[in-house]
Amino acid sequence: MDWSALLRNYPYAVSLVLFGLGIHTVLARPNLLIKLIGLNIMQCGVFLFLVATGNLAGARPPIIDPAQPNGVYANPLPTALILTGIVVSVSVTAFALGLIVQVHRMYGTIDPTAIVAAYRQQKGAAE
Amino acid sequence: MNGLADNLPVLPVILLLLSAYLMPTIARFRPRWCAPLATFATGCSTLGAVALAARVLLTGQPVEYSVGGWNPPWGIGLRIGYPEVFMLLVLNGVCVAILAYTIADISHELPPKAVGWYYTIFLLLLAAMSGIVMAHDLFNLYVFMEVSGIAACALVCAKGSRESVVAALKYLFLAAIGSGFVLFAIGMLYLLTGQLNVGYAAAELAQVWSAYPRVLWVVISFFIVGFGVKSALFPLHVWLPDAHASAPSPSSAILSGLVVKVYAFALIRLFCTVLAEPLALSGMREEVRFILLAMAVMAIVGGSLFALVQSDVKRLLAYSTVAQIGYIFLGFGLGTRTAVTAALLHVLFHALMKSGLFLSAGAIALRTGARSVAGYDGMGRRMPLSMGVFTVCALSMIGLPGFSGLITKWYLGSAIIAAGYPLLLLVLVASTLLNTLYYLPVLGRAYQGPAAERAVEAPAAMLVPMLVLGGLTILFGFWPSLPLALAGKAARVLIP
Amino acid sequence: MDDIILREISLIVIPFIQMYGLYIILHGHLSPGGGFAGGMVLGLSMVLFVLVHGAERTLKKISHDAATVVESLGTAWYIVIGLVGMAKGATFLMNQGAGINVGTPGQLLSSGLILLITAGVGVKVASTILTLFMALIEEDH
Repeated sequence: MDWSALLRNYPYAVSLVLFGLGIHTVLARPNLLIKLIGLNIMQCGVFLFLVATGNLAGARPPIIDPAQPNGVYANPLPTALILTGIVVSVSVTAFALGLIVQVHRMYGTIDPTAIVAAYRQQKGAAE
Repeated sequence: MNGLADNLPVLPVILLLLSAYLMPTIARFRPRWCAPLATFATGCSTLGAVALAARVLLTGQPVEYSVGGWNPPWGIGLRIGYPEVFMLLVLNGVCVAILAYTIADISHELPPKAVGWYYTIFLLLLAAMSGIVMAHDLFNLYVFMEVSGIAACALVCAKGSRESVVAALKYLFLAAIGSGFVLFAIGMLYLLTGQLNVGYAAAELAQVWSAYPRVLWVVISFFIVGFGVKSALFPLHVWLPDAHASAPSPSSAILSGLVVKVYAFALIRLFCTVLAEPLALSGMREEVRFILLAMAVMAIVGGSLFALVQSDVKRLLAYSTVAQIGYIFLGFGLGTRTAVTAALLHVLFHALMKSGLFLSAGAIALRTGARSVAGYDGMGRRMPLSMGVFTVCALSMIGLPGFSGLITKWYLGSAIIAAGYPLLLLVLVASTLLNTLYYLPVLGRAYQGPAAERAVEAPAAMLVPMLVLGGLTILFGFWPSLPLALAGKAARVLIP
Repeated sequence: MDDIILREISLIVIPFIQMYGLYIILHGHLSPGGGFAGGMVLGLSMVLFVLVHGAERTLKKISHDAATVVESLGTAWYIVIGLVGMAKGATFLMNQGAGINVGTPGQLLSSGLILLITAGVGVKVASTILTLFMALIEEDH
């Protein structure tokens, strides 16, 4: 296999690594805040991937330059889309933070296992 | 472009968004007006959907719309053909019933301060689902998915109880992972095609797919995982029971009845438009069909088995939703015209049945406090009307003749035979048996159990929507021709 | 946080931060930034005020009800502006095509409806940031 293509397109490889790391963090780490950070890392991986699709080798920023009217310029569309994506991810993060604060108030912990245990205990006490 | 008629596709969504954002202000000054106004706005958007349906039926052509006057491939396009019209009618119609139910119910479910925002979120969720259905643009699809994902989580935790906050957090994490997968797949499609408009991307992908078979595989699997998480396809369903069981009853009704299916529909529409040609030509269709069917079978059997051991009625209903999503994916997975018709019909019928079940369970919990199966003793005599709706919907779930549940099972069965997978019939039979096994104890207790004193029946404003849902379940069981015709036309568009 | 340096400096700095936020919002159609970025800066100036002067003093200036109303009307404003295009006989959110004077590109008062929309978005984002922060720090609501 030709690995040089991977090296030339390293943003894609990096984005996949970030995506995988993020998912692993969300699913495996026993702390809600760390899970949330993992979620953000995962989303950053996706955003990096999409932004990288707009890049071209040797391209300039997509701003009209009177001196070079016909130069190659990068595709601005993915960047604009990712702006929306970032806003969405900010709102997810904010909402999740609000919920985590609530969870901490109600259970006194942000460890999912401890929360489940506390919940079971409370349910057992009710019955 | 001139006049309201040309703007018909966006009008319902705009109306819903506008009334959604006016709700907190209205709640500040006239808190009692929120529920009727929300119902009224949804009623108007239903009328809009009916007008759209009439236009599509009369012209026989899909309605296309470019937001802001920017034509494709640059602008955000909407496209409404038969499948979209069918989904819009289901979404808006069922939401009218649920919102009408909340007029009398909401003050019992939520603290007064939360009511205005609750309707904001409810209407936003409906608008976002309509957007998912109508979007003819991949990125817009993602944005609407995120809006509906956040709104759905907020509906779960609206009550602010201990269970619901944890359930909403779990749902939020998994929904965000799911939409991350979907966005990654959309990014790869954009990388391959350079287009976001569904039509242009499909045309481009038809030319280039053979050069990138592996990327296409990743796209397809990411779509399946992403939409699978969001629509609670069996191994990815872990968030659903907690979220749907701990939410307030109207939220459970919309989440279980409508939200999960919209994602299933979105997945299938992507498979039938953007990915249609590569799937058909590369031979991947067989493998995708196998994956979808395998997951559907697991969902039907697994969901029913989990439902069997639940002692809480709302959890039982939630696991039953997991199983019923399996039916929808079974139909979509088979991919023949009859099967897709059956799946679309099941989207409608299950929306009616499941929201009827959740709403009547809510009414019963409100008047008697009964939430567990054991608490339903003698309920048939204590609250005859609410329990009657519950019974009708449960019997329809089982698939007794004369109820709409049988119609989809019948069509699904004939599609299975026609497609040549006779073993799947066994799954259908097993699932019917399991349905009977977990619904009958509830019904048996309700009608045979020791009778307590008669409880006060739910207020009329709650009873009427429930009775309408139950009545439609019976009505469509005897006269399925109207939804059947529309679903048939929709399936013909999806499977040409 | 009862610290005289923080209190005095924040009172000097906050107006400038808010001015910068307004600048970004109003130049949304001319330069990078716009409603979201500018609204964020505006909202963060208020967050700074909460951090230094405490939640009670902030609530005296901007009550929960006021923030709620501003927040919901900010988004409703966006939709109403979108309806202008339809009222003119074109499609939703249509700007120049609906016959609206967009002025000369590069001038502050140009771009037709975009300026109005960014203003609405900015107000909405600013009040959302404040509400979010208050919701996170308050003990019970």
